Amino acid sequence: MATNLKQAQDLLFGEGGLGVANVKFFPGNKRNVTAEEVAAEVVAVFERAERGEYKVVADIGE
Amino acid sequence: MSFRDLYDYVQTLEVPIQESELRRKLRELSSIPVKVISIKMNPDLMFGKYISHRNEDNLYFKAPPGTSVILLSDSLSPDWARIVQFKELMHLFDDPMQHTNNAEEFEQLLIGLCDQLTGRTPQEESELECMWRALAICCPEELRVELSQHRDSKTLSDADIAKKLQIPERFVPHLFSANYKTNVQILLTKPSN
Repeated sequence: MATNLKQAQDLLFGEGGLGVANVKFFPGNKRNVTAEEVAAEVVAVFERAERGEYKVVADIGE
Repeated sequence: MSFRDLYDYVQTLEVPIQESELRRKLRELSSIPVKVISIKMNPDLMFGKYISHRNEDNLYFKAPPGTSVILLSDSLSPDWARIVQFKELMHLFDDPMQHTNNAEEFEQLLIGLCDQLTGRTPQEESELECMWRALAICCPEELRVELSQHRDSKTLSDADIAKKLQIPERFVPHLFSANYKTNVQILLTKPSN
């Protein structure tokens, strides 16, 4: 079974993935978190984005 | 693009510094398109994310390749949303060596964010640098010196200053910490990316 980390790595950098040139994070409230937990959230956020579950705050060329 | 250019521009602005004004100036300085979106995130794990992608087959955000996309948690208060957006925008200044652009660096970054005991990679250094850049552009230096005097004489509290700058109170002490000027000076003298 693929780990969350592997899933996030494939999504960001794998063949057919986003081809990410740079990715960074602003950590949340909880201090004792694991890389697996954060990776799971990375994947979950992209799944929401793919479903169009977001609001545009500022668009290109505003 | 040099952080100095943005910093100098901020010195001419009134507080609170507006996100739209920063984005406009960054676009002028860098020509990199920026898109900001608000999306559900687990606030225990993440408040924001910066991503620059190259693959046009995966337009998750309906943004062309090369666009810098900033994702903000939709649960943030306006002051938190401001500081998170400022910090993520500062990744436009990342040195290419600090880019997280492969699976190994990504894993190291996550491990580093979760475990403060590990040594810092260039990617983790960038996270810290961007936090200091974000603080530096929240408050023009002349005003910071003035606020510092009020803070010392207790005529203004951290809550008052936070309200004036519209940033979370938690960040105010960092603006007046002993290493603030040194850290900002280091960032101002870094070579352009």
